Amino acid sequence: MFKSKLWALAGAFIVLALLIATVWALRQGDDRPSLPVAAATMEANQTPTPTSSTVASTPFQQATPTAPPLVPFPENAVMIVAHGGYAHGSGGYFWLTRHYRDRSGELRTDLLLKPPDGSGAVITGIVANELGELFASTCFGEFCGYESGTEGSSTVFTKSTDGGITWREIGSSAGKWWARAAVDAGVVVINFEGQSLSYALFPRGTPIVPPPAARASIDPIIFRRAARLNCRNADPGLWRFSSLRIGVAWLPQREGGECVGASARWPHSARSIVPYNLRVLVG
Amino acid sequence: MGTFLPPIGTPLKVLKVEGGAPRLAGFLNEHDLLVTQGYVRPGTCTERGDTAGADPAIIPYELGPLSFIGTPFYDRDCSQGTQLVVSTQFFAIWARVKGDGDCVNLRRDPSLAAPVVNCLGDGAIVNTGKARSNDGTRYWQFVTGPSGQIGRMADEFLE
Repeated sequence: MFKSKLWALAGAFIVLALLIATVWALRQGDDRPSLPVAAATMEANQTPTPTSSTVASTPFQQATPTAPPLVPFPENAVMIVAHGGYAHGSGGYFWLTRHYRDRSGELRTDLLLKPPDGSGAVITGIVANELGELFASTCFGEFCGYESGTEGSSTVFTKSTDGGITWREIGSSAGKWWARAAVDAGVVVINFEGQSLSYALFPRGTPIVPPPAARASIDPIIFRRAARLNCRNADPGLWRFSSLRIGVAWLPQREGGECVGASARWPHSARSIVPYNLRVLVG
Repeated sequence: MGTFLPPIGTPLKVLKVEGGAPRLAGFLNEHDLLVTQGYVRPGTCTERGDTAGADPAIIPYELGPLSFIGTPFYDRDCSQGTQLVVSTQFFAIWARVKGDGDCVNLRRDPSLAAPVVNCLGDGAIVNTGKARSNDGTRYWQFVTGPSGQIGRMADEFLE
């Protein structure tokens, strides 16, 4: 009796083993990867849960790993966009476009600013202040499009108060300068030649001397004056110039930091500028 | 003025940013922030070693999913590099300045004798009001220029 039960159990075990072996063999011919248990139990539309702390739990970070949704261009906005980038190696320059929907709802793109082909001129920066005044720096010379070697070049600074349609010169300087920030008093420009960075504020052309901590930075990001938009790391720097307080952000590329303060225009009223704080952790 | 805004100094949100610091380009409406620069669109330009994509994007105040603005930004050539929204203007009623190649005067008051506040280029987009005034010879529109200047512009130069 016991012996027959043992044979029956052994037979069942062999059948089960054969079944598992067959399934395994079939899977070898299939190129589908086997899913880990955790992934297999995840809902199809479930977003992976971030593993790090505070910041990681925000929906924003959850949104980045997957393809973000697209939205139509807004109907009530005129957007002025600078294209291009700062020169690195043998390239880099800017041009300016305007985008909006016309009365029929069609999207219109207008080219506002670009040096004529063959002119050798390179727009090295385009910035705007909260008033909507635009500033551009344009380099003239043989080597303007290069990262270094700008002997004989000069830069002209221009300003537009009608959304980039017309521009007027507000100053110029020898060498290659980059428009990097706009404040109410004008445009902050930077020169990368020489032993250290040089800064000036136009239209006056007044040199600006940054604090020591700032001079150590290779990639300064200058934001607008205090109470508007400032960024700081562990050792924030602030300049004072003609009683104008300018926030200086030495954007930490790796060590982290934060930007505090921003401003924006309230819809339908270009004059009602709303100081508004947006706290952003910089990863 | 929007009553939904929290007191100045109140942190709005804490965002984790990939690819650098975002710039606040404006409040698109009562619910959405328009941002630019610093957002790397996954699976596009960065894979080719080009400048990280920085298409304009919208973030709802309540931190819903980040949404990139589609045409004309999404299908761009990656070699164009960064796209930075340097200025935005929002409007309910708007008009284009029609100057036949010349700029058009924006005046302080609805009269040809009024001081000129600015001269806006042909094609400039301005905010306008619903009401017009008539000085006996022409109609005048109340106008806010792209850089915030307020004044009056002759109706015949707006379209």
